Amino acid sequence: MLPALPPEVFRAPPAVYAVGRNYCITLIPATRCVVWCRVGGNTYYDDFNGVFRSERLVHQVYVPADELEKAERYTVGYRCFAERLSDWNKPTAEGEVTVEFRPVKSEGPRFFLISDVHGRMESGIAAARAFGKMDFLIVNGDMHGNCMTCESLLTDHFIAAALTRGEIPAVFLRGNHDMRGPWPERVEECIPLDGGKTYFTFRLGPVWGVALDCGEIRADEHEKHGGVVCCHAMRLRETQWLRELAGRGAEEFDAPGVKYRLAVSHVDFTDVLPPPFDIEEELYGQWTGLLREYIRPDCLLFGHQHKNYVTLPGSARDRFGQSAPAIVTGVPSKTDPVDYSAAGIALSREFIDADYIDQTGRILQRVRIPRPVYRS
Amino acid sequence: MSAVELPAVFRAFPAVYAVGEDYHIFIVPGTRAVMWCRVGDKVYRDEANGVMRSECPVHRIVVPAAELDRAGSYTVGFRTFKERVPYYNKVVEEGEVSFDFRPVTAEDPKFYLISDVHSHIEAGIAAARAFEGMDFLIVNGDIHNDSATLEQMLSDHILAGNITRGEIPAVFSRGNHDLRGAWAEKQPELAPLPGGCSCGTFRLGPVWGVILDAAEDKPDEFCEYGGVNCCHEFRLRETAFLRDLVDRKSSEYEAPGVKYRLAVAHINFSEPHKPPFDIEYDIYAQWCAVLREKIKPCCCLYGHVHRNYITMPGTERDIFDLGTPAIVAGVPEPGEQGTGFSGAGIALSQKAIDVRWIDQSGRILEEQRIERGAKG
Repeated sequence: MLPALPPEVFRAPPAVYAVGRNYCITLIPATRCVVWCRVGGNTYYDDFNGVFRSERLVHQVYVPADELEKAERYTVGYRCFAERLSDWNKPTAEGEVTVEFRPVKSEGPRFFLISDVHGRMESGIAAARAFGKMDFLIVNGDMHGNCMTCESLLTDHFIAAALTRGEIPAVFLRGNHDMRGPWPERVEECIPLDGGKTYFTFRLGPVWGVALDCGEIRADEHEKHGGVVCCHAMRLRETQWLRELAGRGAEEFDAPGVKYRLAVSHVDFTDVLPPPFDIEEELYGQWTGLLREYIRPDCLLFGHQHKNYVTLPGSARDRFGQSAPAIVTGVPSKTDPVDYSAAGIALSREFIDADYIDQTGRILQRVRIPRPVYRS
Repeated sequence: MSAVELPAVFRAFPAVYAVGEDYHIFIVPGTRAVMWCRVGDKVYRDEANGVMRSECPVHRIVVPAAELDRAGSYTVGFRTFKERVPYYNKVVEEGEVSFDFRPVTAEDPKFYLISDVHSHIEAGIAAARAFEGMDFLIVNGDIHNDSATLEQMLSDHILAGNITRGEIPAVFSRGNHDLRGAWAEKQPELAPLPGGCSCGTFRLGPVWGVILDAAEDKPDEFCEYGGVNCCHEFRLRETAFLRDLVDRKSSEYEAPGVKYRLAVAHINFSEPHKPPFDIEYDIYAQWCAVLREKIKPCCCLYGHVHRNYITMPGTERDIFDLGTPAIVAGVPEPGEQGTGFSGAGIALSQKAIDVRWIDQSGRILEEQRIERGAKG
């Protein structure tokens, strides 16, 4: 086993997020430092146009996915400073640590879908660990209650780091609670984004996925927001992006080697929702239509509802004619401050198996879903 | 200039920067607010994926240049808050202020080249405003002494806003002092940069320009920095950008209607420098070759050396055969009030480039005419 990152420099192991054609290696610093990553013979920096970043909540180093998958290891370099000066900066420590990385190669990959932890970090980590060996992790929003503090923004990375140790990839999506408070607007410096966008595609070996972001759950004008969100405009841009994606199948969901297609979103936008949550009927209908007609995922993965269940196409909850089963998960108990459960999912040629597991390792429910006819 | 009265939510007039095919409207707020901008019948917001920003030191609203050029005016909307909370944000004040905007339409445009103000903000504003009838402004770096404080970072926009009154466009280029201090890495949030990159192009009516950023003026390993810069890698990426730009010439410098081509950089990279400033001669020679052979600007515009002069092609200072005159401007100096400044007012025409070096009292220190196509 390789040496761990020094705890006096980093608060947790790395989290390696798949986003577009890159991995975003994310590190939570314990002290002021600058960071770089070596992959094969190339070095990548957490920098802005030649200036190393040190004044950050998290460090992010974007590396090309194919390079890291080929190298199967990366080296995190750091240089610490007591303060960041205009001139004559004095490093106090410098070092490098190498981390092994296992790209997704399995023909029948397994992953844990974690969401709605809402601050029960230890329970979320315990439930995911109880699933056993996984090939990747999906962090699907609402890990904390709101973004009133910068520490809440870090919860997501602490969970991802604890579960993956930077050795397997993760996927990050924003939840609606991630938009509340003074810190969400600084999301761009804290979470993996594809060109500044919270919606993107990812590729993990035989798995291709699209991550969709509904933003908030009520209309922008709802009094609860007080005029600080403009999600409708974002969803319009996202709809346009999804249309363009539908036309780029050959390099995305129809690319060589893709065996499984996932569509992930925190909010279950295909579901029947009561007022005032019954928003964007037209746009969500279009999203569902584009998924059904073009992208044709094997399953939809949702959180948000604080319930574990599966919605089948054509069922009473299927609002727009969904193309595939929707697995909904991520349940913080209303009565027990510790209790939490979510889904471990195994993909195979014929089935999608979902185990709903709680923090004690108890399997609450097992669901076997035949893969849609068009994918078998 | 207009007699628009600014409400307290504005610390200065907006600065409207030309960035690629957009304008970035920058507003330094006097209080916590969310902001948007109406151009014609469209609304553009300062937002992060649906979250309207209020906790930012400067607001940025990106609008398509063609729309604002056509509309000839824009309206900035604001909504102020005492605090930003997760739920039920309470609006304190809401309003809108309209600004006239004059896109560059002159056949023979005039502009002021300001750099190296080094915190003599009022002197810089006075010198530029003494050059009457300008069509646009170029803010060419080192407006402040270093980036140790947020206030220094904001001074660029306060200066640009109060010179242009938000009625004519500006262009932003980074200086080497902008790279120094704890706030330097925050410049993507605080400056008008295309995709977060400090090199790029702009278009203002008949004028097309490329902004090049030589970044720091000493090697990355120089003891003064203490290992916080990785400018060499950045310059390599910038060299690739410049080559790629040539491939896109038909939509850039050879686009219909382009009559004047400018190359702007804070550091006079085509000129000789003494050690330890004599860096990257190989890369800078490549930049000069691309400019000379492909882009063929009518002049290069520099700052950095705190002197006002012109270097003609083929003269002793033209060490890389730039092939075009270099106008160097931006001198902070003692003045009548203890601090002074002079920069260059420049008028372009088909026959000549006329340069006036003007100080904060409006005094013309020197005038020089460069015949188009002249050699030294």
